[in-house]
Amino acid sequence: MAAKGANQGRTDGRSDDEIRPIRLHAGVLNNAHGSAYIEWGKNKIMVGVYGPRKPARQEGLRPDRALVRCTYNMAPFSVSDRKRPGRDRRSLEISKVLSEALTNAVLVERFPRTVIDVNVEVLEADAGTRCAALTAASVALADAGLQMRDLVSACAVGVVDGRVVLDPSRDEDNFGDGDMPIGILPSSGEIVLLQMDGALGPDQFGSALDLGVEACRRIHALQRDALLMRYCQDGVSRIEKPPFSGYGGTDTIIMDDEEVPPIWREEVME
Amino acid sequence: MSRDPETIMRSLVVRDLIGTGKRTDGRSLGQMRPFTVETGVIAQADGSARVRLGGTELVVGVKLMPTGPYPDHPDEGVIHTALQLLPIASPSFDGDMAVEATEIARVVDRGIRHSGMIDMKGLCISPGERVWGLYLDIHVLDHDGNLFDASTLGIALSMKGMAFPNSRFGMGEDVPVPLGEMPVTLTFAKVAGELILDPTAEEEGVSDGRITMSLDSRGWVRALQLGGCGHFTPEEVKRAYRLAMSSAEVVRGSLR
Repeated sequence: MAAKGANQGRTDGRSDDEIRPIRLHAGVLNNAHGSAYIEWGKNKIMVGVYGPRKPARQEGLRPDRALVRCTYNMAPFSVSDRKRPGRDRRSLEISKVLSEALTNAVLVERFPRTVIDVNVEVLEADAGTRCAALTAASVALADAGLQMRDLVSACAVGVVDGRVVLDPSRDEDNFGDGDMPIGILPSSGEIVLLQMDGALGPDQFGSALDLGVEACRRIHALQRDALLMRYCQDGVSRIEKPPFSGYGGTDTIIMDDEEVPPIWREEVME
Repeated sequence: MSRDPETIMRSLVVRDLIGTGKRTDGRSLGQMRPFTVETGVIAQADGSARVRLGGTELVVGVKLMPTGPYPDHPDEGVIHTALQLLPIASPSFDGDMAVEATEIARVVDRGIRHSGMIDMKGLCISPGERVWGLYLDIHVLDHDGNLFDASTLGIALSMKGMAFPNSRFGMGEDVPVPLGEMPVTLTFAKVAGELILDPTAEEEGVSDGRITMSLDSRGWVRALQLGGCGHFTPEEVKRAYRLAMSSAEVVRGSLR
């Protein structure tokens, strides 16, 4: 439920210009050419990049540049009611705006007649998935070693009880008055993702946009850190698999002993 | 599978090595890769697990939702198992993977369903009207072979400690879901006449067939599937069962 009264804090105790805790790791998958994993609040999102490559189907390729093809997909268990697997209108639209935003960041003219696939897998959704996905996707593209003019940093601004707040939570998103995801190229400050629904008046619009852009710059610092962690640790690049954050009842079982049932040895000796 | 010279050379090496009782990753033929299972990782699922088996990684999410029973089983719950072979998981998952995904989901489903781990009548809320639907969803993020065994491990362990979410559906307090012993699924690939446990994607690519067995806690076969355009002699199948029984004990030992 949205907080009542302008002086009260937010439902999760954050201040109005506070972003939820974020963990961002680059280079977390074996097969993907580039990858990133982000936890943003309770959002858990994995991004894997393949390409530039020749796709199985050639139609739609551009003779002058690469096609950045982002696919935003939600796991059936990522939301409270099971989501039927596969595409829907929402995921198609998000895939499109993310593709377009990322096209701005990659030097697509260097890779004509190819496709760069950006696969976004939302494992748990908790408001703000498209901003988290975009933030992780540009890190995954950098991790793939693609030539880029910039990263894309993203954060949403919301309106709750007439107040402009940063990075609305699920409650604030559901019961608030507005939500505006923003994505920027941090070096130039240009906006490459901008959507909005709800109600935002003339006395709020400018300050909301300014607050969002400033938040994107904070996100950019986290993206840089993630890439530095990936490539500057003792100078060696390797796949690091950080554990997922868990909830009550979390347990980790590890089997790494060398045990082989004796029957194998006996039968192989025969 | 790409057919470039390097891949072909490598596949020859993989086969030759297995013929001498060795594998490219240093394992013996009957050795499973190390695995890690993190449970309780998805807050909005009733049960969840992230499984890493060697280079294979997948996330399992379990949801319980009231639904209608099948007319021929009015007092039993409904289990629905689905697996997504997502393009994120492998460069070869570029096209439509629905057939492959469905086979894995159905084999894993049979192993869980027939192992006695879940009491189907225990999922009944009101006979003929309302039962629990148990939705088992497997999301593959990194494919390096043997999705069968990793999926069963993930599903079985994600359900530990799971409760019927009665409160979410206005049906009173949450109560624990009674669970029997879990099944263990073991997959062998046949390469150069040898059976190898827990094949990698590369080993699957050079194999002359695959056999998957799900065993219950007594060592009884509860699901079985031959696959991968290969053929097995009756002796090879019997041998696979003997190997599966002893390997299942090793896996159960590490879970205890």
